[in-house]
Amino acid sequence: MARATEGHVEIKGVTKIYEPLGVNVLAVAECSMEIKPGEFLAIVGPSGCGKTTLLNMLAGFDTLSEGEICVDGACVASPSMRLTPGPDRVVVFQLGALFPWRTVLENVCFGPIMQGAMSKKEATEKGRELLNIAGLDGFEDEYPMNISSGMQRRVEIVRALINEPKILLLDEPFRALDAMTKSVMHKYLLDLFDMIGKTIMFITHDLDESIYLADRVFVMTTRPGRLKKWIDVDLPRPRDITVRVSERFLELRQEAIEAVHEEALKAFERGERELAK
Amino acid sequence: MNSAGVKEKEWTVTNYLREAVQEKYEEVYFKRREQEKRIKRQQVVVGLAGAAVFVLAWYALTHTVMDKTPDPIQTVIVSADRIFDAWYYKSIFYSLYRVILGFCVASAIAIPLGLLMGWNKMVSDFTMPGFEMLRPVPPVAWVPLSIIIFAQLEYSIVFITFTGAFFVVTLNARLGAESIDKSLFRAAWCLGASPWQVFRHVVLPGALPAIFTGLALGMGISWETVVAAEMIAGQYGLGYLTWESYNLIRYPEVILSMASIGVLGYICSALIRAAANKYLAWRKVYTS
Repeated sequence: MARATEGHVEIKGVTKIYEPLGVNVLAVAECSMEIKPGEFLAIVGPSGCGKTTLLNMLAGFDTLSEGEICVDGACVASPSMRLTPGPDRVVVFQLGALFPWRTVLENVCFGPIMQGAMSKKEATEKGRELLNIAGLDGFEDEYPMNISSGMQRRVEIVRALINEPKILLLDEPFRALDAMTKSVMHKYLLDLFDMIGKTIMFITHDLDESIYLADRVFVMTTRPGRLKKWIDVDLPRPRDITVRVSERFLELRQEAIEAVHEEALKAFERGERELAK
Repeated sequence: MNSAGVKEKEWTVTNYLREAVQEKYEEVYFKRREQEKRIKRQQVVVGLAGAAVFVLAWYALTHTVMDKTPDPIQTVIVSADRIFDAWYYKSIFYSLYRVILGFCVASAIAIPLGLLMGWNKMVSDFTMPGFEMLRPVPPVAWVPLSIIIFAQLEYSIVFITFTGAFFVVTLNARLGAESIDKSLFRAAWCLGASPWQVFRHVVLPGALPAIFTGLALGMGISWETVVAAEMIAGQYGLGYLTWESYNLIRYPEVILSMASIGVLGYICSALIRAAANKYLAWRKVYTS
């Protein structure tokens, strides 16, 4: 397995304060973490713990209140910088964000053509090649609405990969899929990761999913979010569905459940207090 | 039993099944085609029946309560004579020219403006007060002012059709741009698109369905306003023809002019719908 040497992410003491309606909400507090090059990292935590906020700050969609984020030693986000989303950190979105007016192939070619990195012909060739590898040949000229949701996610991942990003940011990408499609997509993502070895940051609230896919699982605390503990997933690769019933998997799962449950309870109790006010 | 025998048997069974499925498929397909044809025929019959009832009602009314109004037969006889008249075509030409010029100029300004308003909060805040104030003013109320602004009568009528289309096209384009899924913008940023590319490849195509709705509405309003403007201040044109025919007590021609406005308006809307179908092919979901 060829692991990437780039895509080293350092999140240093990041704080994010939202000010909806003048009330300060501390979403992320002095959160520090490191993603190693070529690592598959999953971040789990109760809803509203700031995991998507963290991803949005790394992607360059959202400003930081404090701290800084570096990729391969270069600062990409800090409170004084303007937002810099770009093709080195491509996001695959929760509910999918393919352009519905572009065919599958046109969607895939969007990045290189917009950046002027490839001519239209080169991009089309490269796009066809990648779609072939993803098992999507024959669907190049379909519009996104006419293919299944599992295929849509695959197209979106291909659309990200054609830019050769340093890190792939996946924001609960399989959330809206049914259980069967989800398990197919897991296998697809595992195979893909073994093939390309890119750094991946995967946000989810599904513990099984996180352990099944990742090298390390970061458990976040409830709001304000910071790193609570991490779990090294030492399950061998390549993995398949049988891993999910292995003893080691269940141990790791138990460990993760306990950590998340504690945080979920806190969030729940606080939620009730807020309701009681 | 040897394996060759088993294979042969399997093959026969599969083949039999395949044939059966094929047969069933053809049967179902044939049935569906027949059904579609029947529905089409039914639609035509019902449509014709509706038209017949309308003409009969018209005839009956004109021979009872509305006895000054021309009946269908008179209208057809006079129309058959008039449609060979150059004057009639001059009227059509003028109305069409005014509508199309006003509509096109309005669209050319309104679409980019509306998209900018929907895309950029500043542009929206800057233009909204003026818009909200001018929008409720009926296009016909613009007639005196437009005559004052444009010394030439012709331009003032074109300006009226312009105002008819302008507001509705702008506001629809704005709505279209506003309703685009925010993650599409983020995806475009991620993939390295510049602000101009975001406008061209996300805002414009994303707002296109709403823009076409606006254009269809705007075309309808342009026709309404051109007729009103021609009645008040026009020379030539179908609205003028309608009013003049009334003044000259040529009542069948009043109806002919009205029907002509209806037909032309319908054709213009149909053209916009055809363009929409062409450019919005991506919205069609194949369910078969």
